[in-house]
Amino acid sequence: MPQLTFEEVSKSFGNTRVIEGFSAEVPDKEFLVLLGPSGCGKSTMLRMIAGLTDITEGRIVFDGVDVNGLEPKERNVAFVFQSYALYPHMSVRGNIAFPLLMERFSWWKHIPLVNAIAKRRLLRGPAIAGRIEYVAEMMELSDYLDRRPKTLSGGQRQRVAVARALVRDPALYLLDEPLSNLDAKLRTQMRSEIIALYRRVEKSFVYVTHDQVEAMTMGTRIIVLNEGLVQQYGTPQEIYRNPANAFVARFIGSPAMNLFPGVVEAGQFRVAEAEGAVLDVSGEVAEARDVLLGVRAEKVSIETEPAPTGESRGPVARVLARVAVVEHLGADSVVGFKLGPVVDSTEVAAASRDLFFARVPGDATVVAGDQCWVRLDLADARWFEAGSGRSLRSQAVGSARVR
Amino acid sequence: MRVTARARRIPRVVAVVVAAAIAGFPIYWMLTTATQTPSEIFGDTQPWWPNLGRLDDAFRSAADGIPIFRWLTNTVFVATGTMVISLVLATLAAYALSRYKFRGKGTFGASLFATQMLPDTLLVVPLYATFMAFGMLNNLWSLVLSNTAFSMPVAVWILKSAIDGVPPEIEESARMDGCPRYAILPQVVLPLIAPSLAAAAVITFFDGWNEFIFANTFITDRLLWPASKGIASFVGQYITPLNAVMSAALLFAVPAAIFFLMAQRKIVSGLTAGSVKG
Repeated sequence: MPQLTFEEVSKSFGNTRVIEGFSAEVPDKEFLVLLGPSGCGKSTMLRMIAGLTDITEGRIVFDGVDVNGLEPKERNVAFVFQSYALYPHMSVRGNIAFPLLMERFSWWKHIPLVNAIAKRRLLRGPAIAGRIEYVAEMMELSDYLDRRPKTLSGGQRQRVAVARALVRDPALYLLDEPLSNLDAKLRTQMRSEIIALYRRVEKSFVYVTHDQVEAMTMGTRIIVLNEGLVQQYGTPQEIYRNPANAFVARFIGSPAMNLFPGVVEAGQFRVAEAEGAVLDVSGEVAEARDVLLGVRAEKVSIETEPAPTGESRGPVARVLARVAVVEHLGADSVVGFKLGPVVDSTEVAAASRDLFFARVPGDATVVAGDQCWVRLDLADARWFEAGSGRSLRSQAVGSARVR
Repeated sequence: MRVTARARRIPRVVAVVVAAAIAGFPIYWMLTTATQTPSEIFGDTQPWWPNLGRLDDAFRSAADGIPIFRWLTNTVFVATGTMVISLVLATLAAYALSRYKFRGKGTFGASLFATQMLPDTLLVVPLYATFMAFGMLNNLWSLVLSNTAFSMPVAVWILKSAIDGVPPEIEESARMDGCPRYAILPQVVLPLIAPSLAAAAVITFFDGWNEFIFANTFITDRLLWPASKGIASFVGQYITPLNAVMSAALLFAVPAAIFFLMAQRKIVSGLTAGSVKG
């Protein structure tokens, strides 16, 4: 239901600012992903939405209603913890039923003995029993309802945690890195299950992750965070195509976007690391600046033949390079390379850092140590200021302050 | 292979048997002495075996003219009172010490040990004066309160470390699920620290059960004596009926043993396993 609005929300612990003020409006029923490296403040932001952490300044608004002062239970949200946080002393049924019981408990039902009786009666009642059956069926937990969490596997515990969130039918689901404790195969499976769930329940989701693949595949909107600062807010396509700055460009995409440092002079881009590599970029970017040229790996191809003269013009450019590493992924391969000619055959094997990458067809024959020419397709290239990392393209959306 | 594995266990088994024998012998001897006549006890060769046929007689003679069951009831009251008050206060204090940040937290935690640092005999006189001022001498509550002062701090520290072991996300999860703040402790935390609660219950219960010095000083009415003081009163200047003392001591030990066996079953670890991924 809610449209989620952040108004200059910020958070400090003591004198340490962990989230700088930012504003954003998220329409209803979006799958919003908070993405960033660890320690960037994304979990804190989620906890502020949940009401588990106070907001230092600004407002969080659900559908025009300020929720700053509301307790978590008054916000009609559900939270799935990274560690699942199941109640170990309760059966799966008890865990899933807990939110329903709490809704129906007045204060005196929390008195120890009364509590046990009230719980038993409510659990037998058709309203709760039916709801549990329904949710358990949906999460494929029907056979495990009487087991304790510790007897379940990681994936099953994860399902219980999601079922517990689901059972109350909240307006907003908050998920804090729910897949990070699962192994790779299960993670892919749970990822599609969560997407399926999102489609089925048609509610708003806010999902925290440091995994950009999860963010790209699951999110309908992404907020990229770094060091407490919102870097960009947009759809996955916008963020992939038009990163607001060099951080986002490096963080999104696997392999990351290639950022070639260089100088623009008289309509020509001189690549810093490669002698004589000059690209004609007139009109693309302002003159005489230290810039970074951003090219996605799939816009880079590898050629083993020297270039016919006069071809390094227009939207396609060729630069001499040396292959440092080749990763065969099956359908395609990722070639890591350095700019410039082969200098010393021992250098290449050791060079695994500061590489540029090309995504090429899987039948590519180059091997580490080869000399090659990389062909850069500049049609979708992006430009960034070398110092600040800011995007230099006018059509790049967003900035640190998103609206 | 199997033989060596078994052989390796032999020293351990021997050690356990020796330890059990050392710990169990006084109890065995209590039983032996209780079922013998004074002439057997003080004769040249005291028999090594208890005369179980005389057990009934022994209890009868222990209760003869002596309000032993009244004393035991008093002891149960003091021990249970000490345990209940200690656990209630200690649980709340331990939760605050574990979960909240407040000024003077360290000082508060350390000052709990104030009573532990002094020998209880030192406090007999000031406590006597205090209870006299409040008109609480000859009142079992004076024993409950003074025993609580000594056993509660220990319980606080046992429970604090137990609550430290409960992941905060479980409590946050309960908050998200709509559990009111005041109910999180009984609904979620207490079931998870049940083993430590049981351990703390045993310790505080026995503090109250065994206590002698305060009982000896604050209670002068014979009918209000707890059993520890009552049994000690058997010891006379010239005659100590050892068999009667031991019979009474057996009666004194049996409820305590039953309580311990019940509590001990709860002291199992690993209840929190499976809540959060380790």
